[in-house]
Amino acid sequence: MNKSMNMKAIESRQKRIRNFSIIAHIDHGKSTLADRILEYTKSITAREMREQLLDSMDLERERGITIKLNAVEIHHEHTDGETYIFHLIDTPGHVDFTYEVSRSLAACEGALLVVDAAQGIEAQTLANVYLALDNDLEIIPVINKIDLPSADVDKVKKDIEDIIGLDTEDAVLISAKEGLGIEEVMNQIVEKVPAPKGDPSAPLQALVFDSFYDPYRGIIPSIRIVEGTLQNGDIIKMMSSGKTFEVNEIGVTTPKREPRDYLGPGDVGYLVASIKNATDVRVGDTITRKSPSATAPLPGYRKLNPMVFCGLFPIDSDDYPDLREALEKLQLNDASLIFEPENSQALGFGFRCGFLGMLHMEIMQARIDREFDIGLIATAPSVIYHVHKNDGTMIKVDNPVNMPEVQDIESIEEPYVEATLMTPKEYVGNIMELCQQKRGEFKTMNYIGETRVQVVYHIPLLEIVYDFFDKLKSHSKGYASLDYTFDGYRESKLVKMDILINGETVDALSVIAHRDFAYHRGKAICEKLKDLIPRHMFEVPIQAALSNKIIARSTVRALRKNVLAKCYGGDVSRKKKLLEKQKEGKRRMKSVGNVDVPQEAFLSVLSLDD
Amino acid sequence: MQGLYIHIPFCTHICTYCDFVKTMAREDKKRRYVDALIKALNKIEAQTFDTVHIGGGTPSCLDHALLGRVIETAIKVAKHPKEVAIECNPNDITIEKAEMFKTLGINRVTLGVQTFNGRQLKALNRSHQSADVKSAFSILRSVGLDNIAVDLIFALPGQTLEDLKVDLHQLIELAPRHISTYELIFEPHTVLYYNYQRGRVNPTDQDAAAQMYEMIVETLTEASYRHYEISNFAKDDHVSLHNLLVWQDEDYIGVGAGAHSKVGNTRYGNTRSIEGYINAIDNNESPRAFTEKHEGIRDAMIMGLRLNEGVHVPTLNKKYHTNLFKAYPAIKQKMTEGLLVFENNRLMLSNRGRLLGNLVFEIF
Repeated sequence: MNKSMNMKAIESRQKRIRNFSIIAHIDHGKSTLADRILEYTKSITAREMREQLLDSMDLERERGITIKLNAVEIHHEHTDGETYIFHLIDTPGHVDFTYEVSRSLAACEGALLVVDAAQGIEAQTLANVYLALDNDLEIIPVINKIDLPSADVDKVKKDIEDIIGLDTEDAVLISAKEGLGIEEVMNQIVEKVPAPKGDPSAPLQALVFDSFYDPYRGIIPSIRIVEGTLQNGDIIKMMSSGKTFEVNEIGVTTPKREPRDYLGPGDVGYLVASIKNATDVRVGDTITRKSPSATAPLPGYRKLNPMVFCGLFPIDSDDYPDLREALEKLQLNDASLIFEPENSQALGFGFRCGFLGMLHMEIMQARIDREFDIGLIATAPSVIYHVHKNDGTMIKVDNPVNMPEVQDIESIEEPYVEATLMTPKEYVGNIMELCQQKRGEFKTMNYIGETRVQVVYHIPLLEIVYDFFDKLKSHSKGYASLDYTFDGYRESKLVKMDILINGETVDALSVIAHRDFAYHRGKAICEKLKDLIPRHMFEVPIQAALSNKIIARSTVRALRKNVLAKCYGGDVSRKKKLLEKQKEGKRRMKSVGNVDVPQEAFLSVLSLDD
Repeated sequence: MQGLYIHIPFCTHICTYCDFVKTMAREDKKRRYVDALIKALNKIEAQTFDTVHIGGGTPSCLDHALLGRVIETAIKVAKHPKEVAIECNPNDITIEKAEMFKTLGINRVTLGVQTFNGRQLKALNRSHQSADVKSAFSILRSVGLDNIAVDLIFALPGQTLEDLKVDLHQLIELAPRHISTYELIFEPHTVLYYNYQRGRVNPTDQDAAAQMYEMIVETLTEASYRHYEISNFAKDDHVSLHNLLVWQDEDYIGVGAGAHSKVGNTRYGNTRSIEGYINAIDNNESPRAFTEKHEGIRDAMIMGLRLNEGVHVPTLNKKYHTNLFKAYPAIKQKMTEGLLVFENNRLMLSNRGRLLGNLVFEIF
């Protein structure tokens, strides 16, 4: 411990720290409430807030969800005359990021449970409340949107009491949009959320709950000091890997980075230590000093394993090095993204990428397109299969292309998830029908209050990664929500289905399907491809095959007529633009054999109308 | 060789498929526009033109006096043009108009027939009826204007191969010297397109349109029309000289709203606004809306390959100091695919190539 550190000051500060998160379903008002709290404490102006706040990425704003975690330090003058230090730790709101949420919550002592007064509790909210309870957080129920005509506060209170068992006597009634009830929220945070425990003189234990990439300073972890203190110049050690780094800066986010001399127990901030490799900063890891070192890491660390895989290929093969660079850059920010080179006969050189889930995959693809401007072809997502071979060995297959020959396979297992769906009761029939179609196995059903139902199914993850989310939305007019957790591997009657275009197997279009659904799916894929592939100079047959046996077929007829009818003096410029457009369209397609196949064809296996 | 084009952007009816500059206007506006045209024409000095083409819109919807002034001035400016052509609606042809054409020096009349089917004419919002066509032919011939060309549209919504055959035979019976056949295109900003977007009308499918095109070529060739451009057929040597010089990479000057010009290696286009055009000319300002580079070989090939005789490669190589086959290796590929043919130093579209011309044009 450095002599310059004033132990009394650290302890006095520690008593005034309140660390909390906001738990809410999408659209229930998490970001709006966060904005109000920041406004209330005059942390930043509303305009600054728009520009840089909690949801900083465009994609997050568009989707109304938070992907990347942020933590902000706020100063609040309480009625007792003391100034309290709030750390608002934001959490992502999607099932793909459950682990990150749990680590963010582990950095807190309390959580605001925000529930929409008109909508009630959703599956995702419930899942996160359980995570908060796992982390022993003080939960403050906040009922939002009480100004809506459809608000039913008593019903929502009863929901919270019945489902979670939380006392709602002191629940705060607010309208974040109108700024109603914010002061009461602040008061309850001070009064109910405990000050962080932790001994400033103990060896350092700091929890990594997020990290950011800065092109000049490397990977910057977001940390919560649990025990001990941290200051500039310390040599720190990552407890999962044992790697050491020298700290060149520490500080807090307000939300600008503000350097500090030291951080003590309960503090939430960042550190800069010239860390170059994203894999060195794992969310959930514990940072200690090289000496003296903590004897054990904080509980709860686990290395995240991707659940969903797909191939990403540049449309223009010249972009391959750029794609590698893009993936490397994205990985700096997101260690859960993994990738390795893949070579497809149809699509050339690309990468096999692993993601935490479907949303994670979509976001990464969108970012590569937007931030790096690389035209991409994504193949249909796959899960990891356990393939037991006749020779007694087991291999893991995350790419249909690598599936062994049928005669070598003894059995195939696929991952299942336990899916918890919440829905207004009028859609429960639709949703159960959907789950049955998706090979779901019914587990339980509970009424939540009088109008909502919770249904639990065991469903193959494969079915979830196909079009489950979209279907769920259309089957419930958008009202149903889903949360899922991995539930082990089960043996299934699975087959690899190949797609042939113009007589050639297109490896990138191969899919794994359940044998009972293969015929139907093959037919649907052929029909879909027929509409997506443009007409060529020749007829293009499209076929679906199960180990060389054709089970479905369609034909793209030959191009018959494509010529400008008129071309006089006046039209030349315009007609040339038309030709340019035609050429540009072709550039956006991938030539497979001698057939131009558009991008969307490679995902055609996903969105089939049943 | 050089051509002069004059655009008359007025109509009495707006055809559902038309996306040219056109409007229904009051008489005073037509007069102000014609005044502007005459002023612009008179500014073109010390040049001669081989062809004069008065197009639209509907030139024939101008009244006698206004139209007469345009024709007279154009011919005077052109100085002994070989071809003086005017586009007319069949129902605008009166004996007075025909006599004026003859007297002033018009030697080619293009009639917008489009179809003989009454129901289809109505659907296209054409102003004429099928009987007007026969009458226009006799009037024109009675004053000695024998050089009559006709525009026909095919692939009309709901049109069958049989319907088209009837159109072709009625046309052949009238024996025009030149026939242009255009596939109906659903251009944006037209009534047709508007209705299409609302699902009220659909384009003819590609296979049927191709079949129609093949039937047109066969029928007209049998009736001894020479197929000389993708959409154009002529008896003997009665080709459209004006369009021919456009396809052959020669220069032309366009006068009027929305008219385009090509002079040397520059292309330019006038404003599409009629008032804008009148004002520019009145104020002695340029009516040009844009200027762009003529893209040498590219434009020459896109235009030249439209002609059945194709492009004379040594001439083109000399004109543009190039080696066409080396500069565009894709030509070989298109020859292998059977879309292009190279014979007697000329590169031309094959029969199939004429149906799939865009696949060839796009390589340039």
